[in-house]
Amino acid sequence: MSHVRKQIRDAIVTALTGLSTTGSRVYAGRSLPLYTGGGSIPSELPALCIYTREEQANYADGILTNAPLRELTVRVEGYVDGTDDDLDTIAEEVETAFFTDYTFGGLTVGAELGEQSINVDREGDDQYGVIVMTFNVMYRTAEGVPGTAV
Amino acid sequence: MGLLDDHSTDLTAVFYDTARGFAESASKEDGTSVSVLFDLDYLESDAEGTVYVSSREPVARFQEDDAPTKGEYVVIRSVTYEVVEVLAGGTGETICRLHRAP
Repeated sequence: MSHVRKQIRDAIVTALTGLSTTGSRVYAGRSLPLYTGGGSIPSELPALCIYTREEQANYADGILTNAPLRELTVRVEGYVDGTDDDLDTIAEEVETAFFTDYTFGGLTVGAELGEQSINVDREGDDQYGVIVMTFNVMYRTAEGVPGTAV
Repeated sequence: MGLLDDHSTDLTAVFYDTARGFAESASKEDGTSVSVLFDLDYLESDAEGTVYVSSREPVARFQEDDAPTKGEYVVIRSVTYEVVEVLAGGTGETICRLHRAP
């Protein structure tokens, strides 16, 4: 059984796949550049990249527990060759889908909106923009049993 | 004859002569065809996400008298570009930074 963090990441990929703007171009943990197309190779934009690389365990108020609340930072990045308006469209679609079932099938106990930022780069042959959306997702696992959400 | 005269002469006779292989044809908005030295270097566009976007950096060099103005469109290699920046070279050439037209 995989770590619950991976199960959550996979569930988020599923929830965010098929949105109107980004479609099936959803990548978890991507590190390679996104291709803008050319010749017979299609563009990979607009796209979503999803990262779950930061997490904190919260042993509430010093009370010992064997199932601490884990606070996972989910980073969803939307990439587009376009404008701020296009990036806000992506944000509208992602937030709607993200909170349709914020437990992601019972894996998590809650989710909150985090910071969002937009940046645009005009150095290349087009205007490329990124919206970075963070979500704080809470879940619990028993110590030593990271593959099962409780 | 000064160095700049030599340079100017060479521009027309050598570098911007498409038959010699350095230059290629471009079409301007008014339909005229001009010679252009075109670079399409690879560029990793960084809009401060985790990954880069693989992009290109199209730059065209025109002889001064042929140069388009900012905002004008040119067609090079069957792709339409908008001129987004014009830099006077001062030696008979004008350098234009381009964006793919929407």
